[in-house]
Amino acid sequence: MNSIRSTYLVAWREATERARSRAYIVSTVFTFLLVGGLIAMVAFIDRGPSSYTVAVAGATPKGLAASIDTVATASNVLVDPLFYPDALSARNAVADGTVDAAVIDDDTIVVHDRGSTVETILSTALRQARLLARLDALGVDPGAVADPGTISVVATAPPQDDSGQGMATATIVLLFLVITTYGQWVLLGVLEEKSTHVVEQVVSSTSVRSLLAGKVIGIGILGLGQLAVIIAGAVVAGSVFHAFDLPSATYATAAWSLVWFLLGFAFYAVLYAAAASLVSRSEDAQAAAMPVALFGVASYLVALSVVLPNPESTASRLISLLPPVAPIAFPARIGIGDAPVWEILLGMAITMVAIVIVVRLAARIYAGAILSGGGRMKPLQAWRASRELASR
Amino acid sequence: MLELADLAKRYGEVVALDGAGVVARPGRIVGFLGPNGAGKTTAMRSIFGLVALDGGTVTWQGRPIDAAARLRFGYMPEQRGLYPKMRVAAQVSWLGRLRGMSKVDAARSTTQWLGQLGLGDRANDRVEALSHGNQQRVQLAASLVHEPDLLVLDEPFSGLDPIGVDAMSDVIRTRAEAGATIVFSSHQLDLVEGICQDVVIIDRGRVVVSGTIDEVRTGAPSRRLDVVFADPAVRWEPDDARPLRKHDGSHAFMVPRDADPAAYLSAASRAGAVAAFSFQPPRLSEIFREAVGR
Repeated sequence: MNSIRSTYLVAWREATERARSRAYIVSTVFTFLLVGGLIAMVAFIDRGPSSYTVAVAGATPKGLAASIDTVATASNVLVDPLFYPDALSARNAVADGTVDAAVIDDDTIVVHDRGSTVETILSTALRQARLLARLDALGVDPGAVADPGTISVVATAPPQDDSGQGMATATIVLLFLVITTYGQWVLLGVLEEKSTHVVEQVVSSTSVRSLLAGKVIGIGILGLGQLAVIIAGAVVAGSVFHAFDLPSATYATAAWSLVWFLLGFAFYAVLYAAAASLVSRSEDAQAAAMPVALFGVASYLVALSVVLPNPESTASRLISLLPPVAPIAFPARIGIGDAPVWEILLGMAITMVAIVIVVRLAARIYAGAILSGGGRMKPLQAWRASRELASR
Repeated sequence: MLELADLAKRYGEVVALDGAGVVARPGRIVGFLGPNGAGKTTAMRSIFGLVALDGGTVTWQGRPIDAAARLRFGYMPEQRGLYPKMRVAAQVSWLGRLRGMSKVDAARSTTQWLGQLGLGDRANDRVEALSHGNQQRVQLAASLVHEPDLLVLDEPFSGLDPIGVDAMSDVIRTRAEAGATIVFSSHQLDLVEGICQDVVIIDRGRVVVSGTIDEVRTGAPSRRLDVVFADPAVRWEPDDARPLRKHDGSHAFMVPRDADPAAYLSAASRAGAVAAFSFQPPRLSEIFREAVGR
């Protein structure tokens, strides 16, 4: 009972002290603004088709308006024709920027600068209108020429939900970043306690296991909070700016991401803690944590390069079951919408078993090393030392 | 009662503890003394289970020490350590809660101890902003906040100025008068001989001398003889004395315990005019040197 209370107190200290730290506030606000800003920017840039206003004056070919509409639609732009009484006023409207371009009679296009999109559209449309007018003059029915019948389009690639892919990519990047960032916080937190020797004071009134568990839980809560804020920010910003049609799996992906963050964080954080407990100086910390960091980066790359492009391949399905990869691969697969529930549950079960093993291993190394003085310790030395300190 | 007995610990080839022991009783102040590297810190850490002993027993009230018992202990480790970025009061009261105090009690006790140690106006400063001496006081507050039954202080006087030493001694005495059991270590034997009531002097992991301060000093086989001559040029040395030092007419010797002081005074007076004379039990450092023969 007492160890639960001291674990809670350690976690409470970690969470409240760090939540008040400038680093946490700045990084939360910054990530929130970054995610929201990116989505707003995408919405701003990709505001659907761009539109042009075009002056039309004089004796233009009969089918011009219809031609402009057809060509504009094909080019994914909107062109709005405005009729002007004479050539001069149309020309002036282009010069002063009231309209983007003008078509005068059946042989002149006025633009502000040569080489613009609107010039291409208008010249194609004008040529087509003149062609139809000539055919008409020759007695051919322009309607029959303009509509040559339906054309069927066959795609060789299976239909793909692009927004699902985009969300999956974002999920992988986000989870990797958050797990790594907060894993590093655990690394630095353990190092601080050891290098300042405050660990002696703390452990004199609690156990090393409570200290380790409380630290990981406290920092994990902060990471979970930040991740929830980012995801909420992305979902809200996405729907406010209509930057993208939210894929059907959005809410499921968001919820699962939080669950998988907890699993992934538990897995990596205790390893970071064990690595940090082996050293006393910050210069040595990154070197000691290198194997853990490499594991994380390798899992990230595998998730991005193997699982993401072919989520349904056997290799992807097997790889995403591996505990180091599962926490970032599964949310992505859920986002794409291809992960069966039984596979998700199997992945979780395997990851949880791995977490239990890793926690026992790492906690033992931590217990053996955190109270040792002097230089860098090897994991095996720490393992042996912990046997003697079993009572803690 | 705290009882450490037959402690043994090796670090590879280095012997830290080789049979040393300490007994500390409620209301008494035990000075656990010895040179650097004698094994004091290892013995003190063993009380908190911070070191795995190779042998020996550590008991409190006759029972092995468990986590619950430790909550009633206060500890000031040799390597001082606090969270540098945490605020002073928050840190002290958090440590109080970690030892089982309620939030309210911990806050109240923190305010009281910080006030008593002269840190009342620094309560909301970050620990790293404090001077070394003030950090040391925070450390003391951290070990006292829960008013422990056993107070273990590892080198509490090191790094303190004379006023700091007095303040630390006052706190230690007050806690002992309140009934707490107190063990503190020091390598500055003469500095603390006025503070401790019981003494355990160890060297190379073994107890060299132990007992109450009076037993140890009066029971020493020698006495210290100090003679100051008015004329610094006077040379004098009794036959049965071991000279300690000679400086500007001031002579110090170790002489047998049962020697007659009056005989020395008259002999010295024959050598020159005596300005000052004393014959008293030796200081702890001298007792230690005689005991280990160094």
